[in-house]
Amino acid sequence: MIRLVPRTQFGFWPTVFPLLIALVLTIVVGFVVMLAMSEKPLSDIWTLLTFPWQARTASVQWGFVLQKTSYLAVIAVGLSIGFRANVWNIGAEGQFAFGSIAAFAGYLICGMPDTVWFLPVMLAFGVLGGVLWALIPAALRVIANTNELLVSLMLVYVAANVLNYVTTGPWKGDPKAGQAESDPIHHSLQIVSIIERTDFHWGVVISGGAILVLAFIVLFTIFGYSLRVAQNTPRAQRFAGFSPNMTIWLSFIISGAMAGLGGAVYLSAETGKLIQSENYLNGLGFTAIVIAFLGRLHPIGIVAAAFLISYVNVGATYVQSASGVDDAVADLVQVTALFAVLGTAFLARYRVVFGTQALLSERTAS
Amino acid sequence: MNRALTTLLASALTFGAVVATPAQAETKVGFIYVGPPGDLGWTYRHDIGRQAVEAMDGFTTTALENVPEGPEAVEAITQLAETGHDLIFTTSFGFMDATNEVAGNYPDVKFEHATGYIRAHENVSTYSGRFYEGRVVQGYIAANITESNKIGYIASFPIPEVIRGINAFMLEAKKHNPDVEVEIVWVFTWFDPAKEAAAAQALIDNGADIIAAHTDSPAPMQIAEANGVKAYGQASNMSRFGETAHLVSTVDDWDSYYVERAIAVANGTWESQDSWWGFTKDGIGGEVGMVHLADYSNMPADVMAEAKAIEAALAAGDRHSFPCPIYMQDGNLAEDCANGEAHLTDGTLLGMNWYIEGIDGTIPQ
Repeated sequence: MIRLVPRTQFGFWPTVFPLLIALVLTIVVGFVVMLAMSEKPLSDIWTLLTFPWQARTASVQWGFVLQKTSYLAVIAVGLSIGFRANVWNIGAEGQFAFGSIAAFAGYLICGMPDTVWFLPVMLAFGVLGGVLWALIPAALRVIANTNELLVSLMLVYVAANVLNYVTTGPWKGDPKAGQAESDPIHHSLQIVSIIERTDFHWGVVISGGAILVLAFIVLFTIFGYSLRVAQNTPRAQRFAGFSPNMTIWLSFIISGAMAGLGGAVYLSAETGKLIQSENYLNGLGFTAIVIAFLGRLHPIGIVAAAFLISYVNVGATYVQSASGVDDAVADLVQVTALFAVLGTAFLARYRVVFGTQALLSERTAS
Repeated sequence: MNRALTTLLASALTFGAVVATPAQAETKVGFIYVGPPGDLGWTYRHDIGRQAVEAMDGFTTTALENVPEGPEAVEAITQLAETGHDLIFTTSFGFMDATNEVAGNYPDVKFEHATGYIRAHENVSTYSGRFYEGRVVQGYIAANITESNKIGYIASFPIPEVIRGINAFMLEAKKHNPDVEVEIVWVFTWFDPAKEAAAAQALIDNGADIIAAHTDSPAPMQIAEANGVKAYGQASNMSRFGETAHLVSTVDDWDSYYVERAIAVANGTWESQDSWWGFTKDGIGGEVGMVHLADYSNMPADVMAEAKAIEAALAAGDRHSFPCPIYMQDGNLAEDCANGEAHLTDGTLLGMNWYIEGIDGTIPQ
């Protein structure tokens, strides 16, 4: 006889133990996947785990990992605010794209400045663009009671088409480029690497700063406390001074701002120009949703999850380059991790009791 | 190098891993594909070339598929360099910036960029086929079998490579049938079956009875087949997609070039260069080139015979694809011809950004 009993006390182990189980499950499944996909699974798994030390240049590998981590984490931390309150913004990819578009628009509006001092303004335009794009599903939810999950998702495709429109229309750059793209922003506005020849650039630091600020507000301020309390139940929302609608507005503004910032940094650091959507967007906004849940909607967890998933992703491309194993293995590991973390989450909330003890506790409960 | 060596040693010591010393006998060749080899066109033909290298003793190959032409290309190319590849082929025009950027970071690795023109470092070569030679034969066929005198042309991007093809096609077609006209649709993609199909349908609805495409998928051929008009195969043999539509396929043939360059790296004789091979490597009947025509079909016997004769003359160097006199769209004689050249020079062809006389419309700027 096995029974699940709700926990009344939450300690360290009930929180960490399920995560450990999830980690073990993920490793086991990853191992099995590798056995199936690889001709020499043991050596490939070893490569996947230790690729920064096996590559020619360790700093290049860490650069890729940190770069990806920063984009995923900055978007995911923003999303987690809404997710805790059951406000479903799954359109971060679109807000990311619109952040890029708005940053580029700001650059044009301000007369294409050629000084690095304009960079903060350009990033602010990106934040604004992300917020504006996120306000659409929020407004439709509040005014017309539409499903914000669907609206925010659909707006991803609208944003992608806006990107395609501006790169083939008004902001079209060199037609000989072999892809639709805008002219580049001035090189002084392109974020540079901290360690030369790696992707560890100042954008990683900017994103990291934004994550820290948001994490501090959520964890250590009264506003953040009210937000967290408000998110638990509608009743608590009223006690905390938030109306349900206010929660929706705040969730979308914060997540849109973070995704928009990510998009502006991406424009400045990675491409230096807008490019047609299929070559510009690579699903960071969608992966960030997975990251938010892998990190249990907690800032520290999210950064850790973003790091782990980025590590596996970069490693998978490395293993593919080194021994030809398809890097789809990274997607499989990611999905497994998500299922494992969500699947074991109940262990944090329930105790598993066996045999007569189960009956006893049931009797006590009733 | 020292740093790489130390890193290798460090990892071997720290983790007790058995790190294989890079045996010089084995040359590692990497490929970056913009699409899947299953695209049955552009990438498929590059993968056939890769297999020719893989088949040789002492060579191993790796291919990364579906690499977008944006910032992700840098990571993919970097990882091939980081994993000890000696020679890396990046097989799409859009990898030009990424290839040169990564090449600057790995001076001991050789890079080969297909269809590009920038060689920013000593370790970068560029290569492409004179695909326009196939367009000459296509233009001849079109001039002789079209009934509506209207050709539909699906163009990808307004780069010299594509414009050259349109010009070669129309130059030859006009010679044999002055009434023939071309309608060009720019789709701004290399591979998008849905977009290509929509463009083909629009051209056919507008009266075209022959479809030429400078995109990679067999979709235009399938649309031509469904509408009972004719089309050419692009990049690979597409005859099976158009039983009654298929006229001839221009097939990319990278095998001999890839094998030659891989051997050059293994022998230490590799040098930065630009290679441009047509039906034959030297253009005068020598070794196999980078372009060949496959499966002439669905045309009268006399047209087919003459088309094959043109192909043979181009391969042997008996004639050129762009013989003077050539007049530009604005009516002026092309500069090379005015300078007394017998045909347009390679320099002019590589930078071609104008239409010949007889093509309506403007090139997107």
